[in-house]
Formats: sequence, C-alpha cells, structure tokens
Amino acid sequence: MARGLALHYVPRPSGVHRLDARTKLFAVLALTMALFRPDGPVYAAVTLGLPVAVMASHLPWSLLVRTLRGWLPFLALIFMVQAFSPPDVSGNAFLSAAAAPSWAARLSFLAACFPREALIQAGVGTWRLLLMVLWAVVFTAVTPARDLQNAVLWLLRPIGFLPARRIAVMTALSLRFFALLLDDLEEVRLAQRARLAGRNRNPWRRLRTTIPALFRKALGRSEATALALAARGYREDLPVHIPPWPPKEAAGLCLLAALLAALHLF
Amino acid sequence: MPLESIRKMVLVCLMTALTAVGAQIAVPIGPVPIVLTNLFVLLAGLLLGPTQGAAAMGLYLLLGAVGLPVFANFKGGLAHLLGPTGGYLLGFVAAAWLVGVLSHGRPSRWFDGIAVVLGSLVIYALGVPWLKVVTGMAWTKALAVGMLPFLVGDAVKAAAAVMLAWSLRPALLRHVRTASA
Repeated sequence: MARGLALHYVPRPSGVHRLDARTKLFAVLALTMALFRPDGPVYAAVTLGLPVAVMASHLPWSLLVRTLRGWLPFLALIFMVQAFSPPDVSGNAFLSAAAAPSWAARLSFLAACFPREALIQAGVGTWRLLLMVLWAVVFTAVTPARDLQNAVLWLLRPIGFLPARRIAVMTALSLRFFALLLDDLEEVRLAQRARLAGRNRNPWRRLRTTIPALFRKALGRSEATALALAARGYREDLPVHIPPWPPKEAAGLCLLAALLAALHLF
Repeated sequence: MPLESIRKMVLVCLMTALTAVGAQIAVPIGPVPIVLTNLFVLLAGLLLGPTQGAAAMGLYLLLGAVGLPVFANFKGGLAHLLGPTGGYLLGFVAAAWLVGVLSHGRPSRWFDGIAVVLGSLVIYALGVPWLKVVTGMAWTKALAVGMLPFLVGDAVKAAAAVMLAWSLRPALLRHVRTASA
C-alpha cells in the first residue's frame, strides 16, 4: 500500500517553482480571499490567471484534469443542491407533477424545480469552488514539501511555545510511520486472510480485529524510535535554518493584493 | 531532552500516522462509504489526552497542507484546507482537544461516549458553516450535503472509537509502564 504514496509536487525548471514558498502561499491565499466576494472582474482575472500560471510553471494539463475528475462528483452534488429550488406546492401535487404522464409536463416540472436564476447562482458558486481548488493544486504542484514546511515554521515563529525544530522532526517521523504503517496494515490483512478472517463480511468485526493489531505493531515501532532518538542525543536547541523572505517577492505580492483590491473597487 | 518527552513526541507522530492510514481505509456502512479519519481523530483525544491529541491532529493538517498524501485516497495539498472540506479538517483539532478534555482522567464509558458525541458535533460545527461560506449555499442545503448523509457512519465511528479505546488503553498503559521501568 505504501506504493500509493506519491508526493503532489511536480518538479520543473520554471520561474514559478523558484519563487519563495511564502510568496506563493500568500498569493494563493489572496486569490482565494478575493473569490469570496462575488465580483465579475475579480472572477475573470483569477480565471484567466490560472492557465497563465499553469503554462508559466510548465505543469502538465493532465494534472488539472486528474484533479477535476477527483472533485467532479462533489462539485456536481454542490451544483445540484444549490440549483434545486422546489416549487411551492403541496406534497401530493409535487409527487403527481413529478410522475406526470407526458414528457412535456415532466420537462416543465423540471424547469420549475431548477429556475434560471438558481442555475446561474449555482454555476457561479461551483465555478468559484473549482477555482479555489485548482489554484491550491497548482500551488502544491510548484512548491516542494520541504520549502512549504519551512514557510509554515516561519509563520509559527512568533508563537514562542511551538518549537520549530520539534515540528520539523515530528513531520519527518510521521511520514516515516505512515509508510511503515501502510505496509503493516497490508501485513495484518494478509495474515487475517491466511486465517480465513477475510471471509467475514461484517465491517465492524473486521475493524475490531484489524485496528488493535495495527495499533500494537505501531506501539512497538514507537518505542524503538524513541530509544533510537534518545540514543542519538536528540536535542531541540539546534537552530533550524529558514532563508529570509526576498524583499522583491514581498513587494510583488503587495502589488497583486493591490490589483485585486482595485478590481473589487471598479 | 528527557526520554519521557521523546516518547510523548513519538506517540503524537504515531497517532498522526495512524490517522493518515485510517483515511485510506474505506468501510461500506450507511448511505455513504466512510473512511476512518474521524475514528482516529476521536481515538487521538481518548488515548492521548487534549494536548497531545490536538497536537497529533495539528500535525496531520500540516502534513496534508504541505502536499503529503495523507488525506483520504492518498490526496493532499492546500486545496483540501482552503476548499469546502477545510472546516471539517480544522474541526479535527478542536474535536481531538475536546474529547481529550472530557475523557482524560475519567475512566468511564459514559464520559467517553459523551466526549465522542460532542467531538463529532464539533467537527460539524466548524465544517458546515465553512461549507456554507465557501459554496454560498443556504443553511438547509449545507446541512443536507455536509452533515445528514454522514450521520449514520459517524454514529458507528463514535461507538467504535469508545470500544476500541477501551481495548487499546490497556496496551498503551502497559507500553508506557514497561518503557518507564
């Protein structure tokens, strides 16, 4: 199962990739915030900016298509729910209209359930959601995990009780455990199948046998890891090097924010 | 750093990793097939207590935000935090903390039961308003999409969390005692 682990970063020799992670993070946050107020020019700018960003970062279009496919059922559900406005009729009248004998009657009933204004509103809402998701996907694809981790540590620096080094070590440990536990889970499943426990279709019973076994294996790993860290003299007073935020990029970000604010005004 | 603190830190990482593994296990219960993320969120609070439970969930969100594939179906990235599911994900931290506060130091199935019910509700309390704001839906529609289809599954997960916590706690206590000896 650990083979399913694949990072969502797509390495490419582009200027967008070389930008500081903080610049990209704040830019995506600014674009997302701008989408919260329904405004034509902002929507148009953010929409047009997306293909420009994809081309500038040399990302494959298939990445967006793949993401779109994953989110499609959810977006379709949101669209349907938003667009559906049941006509103001009693329950029996509603049912009889829904089961009308002629196609024309059924179509007119459908049109009454999905009025034009509601369809437009649902379309705009779904489009906004899609833009948010796709911009975040582009951001993740052009930012290495280590850079983003450093950006988060930089953001957390003002909070004194959150030690940056501990967070960095915990991130690495969790990821290592994740890969190991996925393989442990597979092992537990294979062992159960060998004992014919896999034939039991009751999901509750399967949970009760799988999770405790996985947890006990995990506890054994945790003790070995803790002892190994202690034996290597783990300490937290060593500094974590986070490069300073380039002033030019910070200025560029301010320009983007000003542009979005200006688009809101006009 | 004392060995005891290192052990606690490693246990937090372990719970983060278990939550990520739980997100990849789908169980066909109720109208919507459920993943076990919420189960491990509640277990984090029940087994580790408020501070470490919330820390484990905070770390889980950090891993997901930086693009590591720890969310359901090996997904990851900022889209999940900024998109419609962001409220539920932030609710994980609050839920683990609340479950830990209500259940820690009170070895009773009743307290655990109340804690997991309130913990599950906290996830919705943050998730549904977030979904409403992001999608622009009315409250009734946001509840219909973001809460009602998952209630059956969440009830099962809450019950399972209490049962599993009671079967896992002895192992955890034994592990801590053996390690300290």
